[in-house]
Amino acid sequence: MSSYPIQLEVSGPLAMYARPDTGGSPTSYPVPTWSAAKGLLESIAYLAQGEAWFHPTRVEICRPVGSIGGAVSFQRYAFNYGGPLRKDLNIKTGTGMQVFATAVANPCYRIYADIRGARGGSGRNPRHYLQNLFERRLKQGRCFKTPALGWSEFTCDYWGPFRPEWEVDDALDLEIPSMLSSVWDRAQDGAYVSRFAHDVRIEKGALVF
Amino acid sequence: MSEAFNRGTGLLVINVINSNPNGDPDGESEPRTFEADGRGLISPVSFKRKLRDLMENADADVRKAALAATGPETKKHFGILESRGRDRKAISAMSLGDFRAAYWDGRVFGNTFVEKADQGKFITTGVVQFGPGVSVSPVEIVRLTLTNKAGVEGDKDRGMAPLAFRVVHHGLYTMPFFVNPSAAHKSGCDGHDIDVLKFLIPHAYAHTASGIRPEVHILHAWYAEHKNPLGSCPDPLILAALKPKKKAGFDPNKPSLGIDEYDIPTALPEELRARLASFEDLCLKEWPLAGAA
Repeated sequence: MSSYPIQLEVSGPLAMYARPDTGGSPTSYPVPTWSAAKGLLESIAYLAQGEAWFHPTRVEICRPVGSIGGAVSFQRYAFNYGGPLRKDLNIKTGTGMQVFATAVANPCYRIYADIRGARGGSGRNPRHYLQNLFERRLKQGRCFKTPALGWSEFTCDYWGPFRPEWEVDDALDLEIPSMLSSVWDRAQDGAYVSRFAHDVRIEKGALVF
Repeated sequence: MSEAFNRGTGLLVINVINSNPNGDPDGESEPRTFEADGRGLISPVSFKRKLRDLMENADADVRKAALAATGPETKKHFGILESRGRDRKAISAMSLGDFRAAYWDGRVFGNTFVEKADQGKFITTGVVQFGPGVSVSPVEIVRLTLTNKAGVEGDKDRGMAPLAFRVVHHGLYTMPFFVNPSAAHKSGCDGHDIDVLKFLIPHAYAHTASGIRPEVHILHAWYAEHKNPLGSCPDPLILAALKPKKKAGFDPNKPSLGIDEYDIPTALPEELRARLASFEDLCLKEWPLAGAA
């Protein structure tokens, strides 16, 4: 089967890929989960009928060229929350809730993905079409949804081809005992099932899904 | 006023002088800063709240001016969903059409309003996303003690608030925002809503100033309208071209003392401008209908 790879570099001031075990005071994983990486790519292009989809294979954590790496910076981020995840009493009384989160500061990621899906027939190849659509939209400056680093208010200051002024932080090694992978049982039209990967390793700045 | 609208990319250039643009509730209301490098931070929630505040009061001057400039309320109203004292049951009982027609902030920023009875039918993503406002260089925090001659405690005739006045000595911040028409069909947002937003932005700090936030000035509110709803120019190119930088001779890693330390772009390079339908500074925008009010 032919391969249809794509890649994207994204960066921004803040990122939040919440660890479920951190509950109401969310703390971010240092890297996007498989699901989040897929969603970020889908903000630029996707096929609504699900004939082809992005399958993230690798995420690299980057640093400015020449800077000292080897660590991920986190940032306290408190805000008022008035949404549906408050306690019933807070909702009934119209009381807001302060959320104390811990986000990643100044992240830059390189995301690699394959495009998977139906092989297609003569003259019609959904995987090739999606790859082409993605690359074209990056050049045109188009997207379906403004890309964000986890929470939608954590907008990106960059998304596009790899930039020469950033490099993979090969001094960074981390181990994550348990990491959410996806909350759906299928890549497309899935039912809610949270799936976790165990003993996840970030080696020389790279996480392989 | 137009109903349909194109993708938009904006960048606010905000000059902060002896003010706290956004206090940190997790840090005794100290101005928010990045722990890693000391740059200042303004949360998107904080900025959107100021826009809501300008529109919340029906008699407010800025709201009246916004509607005079962009066109009056017709079938749609410009209420604020995120208001204290709202009647959740009454809102929950609204039809989806009435809900969309009632709340400007729900149409523009999306909402997460849900009650058991409505089963989350009102929840929508926002058409407009504001990103974090970040200072170009680190900021220096100044802390002063406030005194009160009259006193506020019952048994005292004078008062003191030690180190309560916590401000950024000087900082130049940029805050991006994005207008995405793809989300409009769900929230009911149209061109009039976006025009109101564009009118409000330059007034966000000037008309919500306070004792702790006396001098926060939006120097530029750049707005790039793309040639179509999906976009015609990569947003990061626009944002990078408009971002101020420290002038040669001034250390970018040290706090600034004033705006003279920065080179602040005043235009887009022509190759980017040619990819856009329009490009303007909302702070200087003339509103044709405003004179008729």
